[in-house]
Formats: sequence, structure tokens, C-alpha cells
Amino acid sequence: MVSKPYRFGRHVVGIRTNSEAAGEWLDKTFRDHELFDEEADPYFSLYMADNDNKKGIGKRFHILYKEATDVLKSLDAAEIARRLLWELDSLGLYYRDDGIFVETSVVERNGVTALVPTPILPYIRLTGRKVEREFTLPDVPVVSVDLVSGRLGPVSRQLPVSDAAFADLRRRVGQDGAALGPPRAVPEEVDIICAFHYDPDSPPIIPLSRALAVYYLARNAINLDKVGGRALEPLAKAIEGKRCYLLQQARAAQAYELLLTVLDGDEDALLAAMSE
Amino acid sequence: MAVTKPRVRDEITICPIEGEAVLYDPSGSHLHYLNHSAALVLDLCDGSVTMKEMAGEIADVYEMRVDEVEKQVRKTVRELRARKLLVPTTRREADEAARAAESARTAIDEREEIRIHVTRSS
Repeated sequence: MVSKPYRFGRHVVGIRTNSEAAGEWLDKTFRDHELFDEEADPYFSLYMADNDNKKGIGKRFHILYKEATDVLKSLDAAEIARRLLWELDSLGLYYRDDGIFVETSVVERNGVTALVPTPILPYIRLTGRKVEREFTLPDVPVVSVDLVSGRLGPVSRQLPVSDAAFADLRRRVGQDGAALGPPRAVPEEVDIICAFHYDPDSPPIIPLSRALAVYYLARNAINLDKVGGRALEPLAKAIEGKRCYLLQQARAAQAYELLLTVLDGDEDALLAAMSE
Repeated sequence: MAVTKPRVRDEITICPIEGEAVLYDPSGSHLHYLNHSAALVLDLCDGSVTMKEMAGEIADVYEMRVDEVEKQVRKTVRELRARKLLVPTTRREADEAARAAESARTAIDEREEIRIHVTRSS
């Protein structure tokens, strides 16, 4: 087990790995961030599958842990490293003011896209693997909204790590499965805005006014303290002309079904849910 | 007794959207949503008109009775005051506002400190 402390911006973070090869990659990639005079408990752990060990059935996953939580499992080491980079970058989101960083995810179904609060996704996933089958889920849990145009986009990377470095990690730890392509792009705009609430007495789906939709989005802005009131107008632009709904989250299965209903846009089903 | 002319605090950001409004108050990073009627009253809180005059203007536009509208305006202004969106009109309110602003500043500083030093949850 290799474990070292690093400083990223204002944060001191420990990263450990069970793999000598991944440890060497971390050394090389984060050389400028390594700390020699401080200690830090491991916050991120990279568990790399041992692909030379052919025992067991099926393919072996690499796993990124944040404390004790598995953030991502993948057959592609580069995907794990990309997500680690994203997590390290995200430590600084609170202090940045080069965009509005909203904890919201772009969910897609049959070409229709919706912004959904990220914290609801693990809840909806309680309903099983059908969630991955029915929806295209995002690679990262935060979307950036441009401070002028209100266009959506990915959060810009602050740590300069080249694509070649990710390929290098793949070479070092080996590959048991196809290498994944680049991360899914964040569209500049979406079709639907969804917010969720817990109120078993209200109809399952309530159309939201644009002002309320902005209010719900702004509540999920990570750097609202930093950007302040400047966030409101771009958020209003981001949802201009979009359908906005408030969905019931009393039960995971219901939240899943309601999300399907709004993404499918079936008028009859929507009307029924609004008048229940 | 001086007649009160309510005015929105200068620090508040107002984003009017289709007759409703979303507001951001930097002291404490508070967000507020105002429905159509509250946003209408807020729009008139520029320090130049009394609540009675506000009621008169709204009643004119919507062809309603002034006394009915005035009740609603007073209630809304009380609510806006309770949310500390208006300039304080009494010494006590002013002191409270100053304390709230100071404690919000401290809270934000403390949050920054925590985010810098405590990366592991305890």
C-alpha cells in the first residue's frame, strides 16, 4: 500500500493505492503537489485490479474510494484517474467564481435531457439497475453555468493533466476490458428542469414557475457564497423556455417513475400525475 | 409619528422573472422566492411611497378596493421585514440587522476555515 500527502489549492489530501504501478503514476503526475513536511490521512483510495491474477470469474474492476464510499468502479484505469482528477478539482469549487457550479446532473432519455439535482440520483438508483438502462446518467455530479450567457458546460479543469498521462496509467496497470472514450459532453442547454420535494399530500408532479426553478437551482449552487447575486440572472437564462417540474420524492420507485414520465413527455400521463 | 416608506436594502439582489422574483441576500447567503403579489409589493418598496400609496397604485391597476389591497400590502411588507429584506425602520431592527450581518460574515469565514483544514469527516 502506497500512501502520500498532497496539497491541492488550499487542501491537504492523502491519496493511497494498493498498486505500486499506480503509486508511481501518482508520484509522476502530482510531483509538484507532493508534501514532504506534513501528514494527511488517506482521503482518496485507488484500488487497482490485479489483472495478472486470473482467479475468479468475470472481469475485475478498478475502484476509486472517497473515504469509505466507492465513488466509481470501472474496468478502465484511465476513467478512475479522470474521476480522481475531477474530485481533486472539485475541492476548490467553493472558492471559484469563474462560473456557477451547480450540484445538478444532466440525465438523458431518448434524446430528451433534464437537469436533475445530483443528490436525488443515489435515491432513485435504489430502485435497481433499470435506472442505468432507462436513463443515460452523467459522468460528473456538477454542471457549470456560464456567468454571462447562462449556457451549461463542464466544470473547467484546474489541474493540468494531459490525456497522455491517462493513457500512461492504462499502460502501467494493465487493461482488462475496453478503454472508455472521453467523458460525456455536457450539453449547452437541456429540455427540462426538475426539482424534487417531499410532500406526500401534494400532486406527484407540479409545474414549476421559472422563478421557482431558478430558486431551486440556486439552492444547489456550490459557490453561491462566492458568486452571490450575480448567479441569479444567468440561472434564469439557463432555464428560459424550458419545461420545469417539481416532482414528489416520497418513495424512490415513485421518483423514478415520475422522472420517466416527464422525460417521455406523455401528455396524458403528465396531466394524470398533476391532477392526482 | 413619521410615515414609513419601505425600501429594499441596497445589498439585496433582485431577479424579477415573469412577475415573480428570486432574491439573494449576501448576509447569510439567503435565497428568497417571492410570488406574484409579493414581488409586486417589493417592486414598489423604493423608499418613495407609503404603504397607503402603494395600495392606491395597485388598486388602480387591478381595479380593486383600496382598503382591501392595503391590508394585503401591510401583511406583505411585514413579511418582507421579517425576512430582513427591507431597510430597518427602528433602532432595534437596525441593531439586529448589524448583528446578523456580522454573524453571517463570521460564519462564512469559519466555513472557509473548516473547508481548508478538515478534509476528512469526523
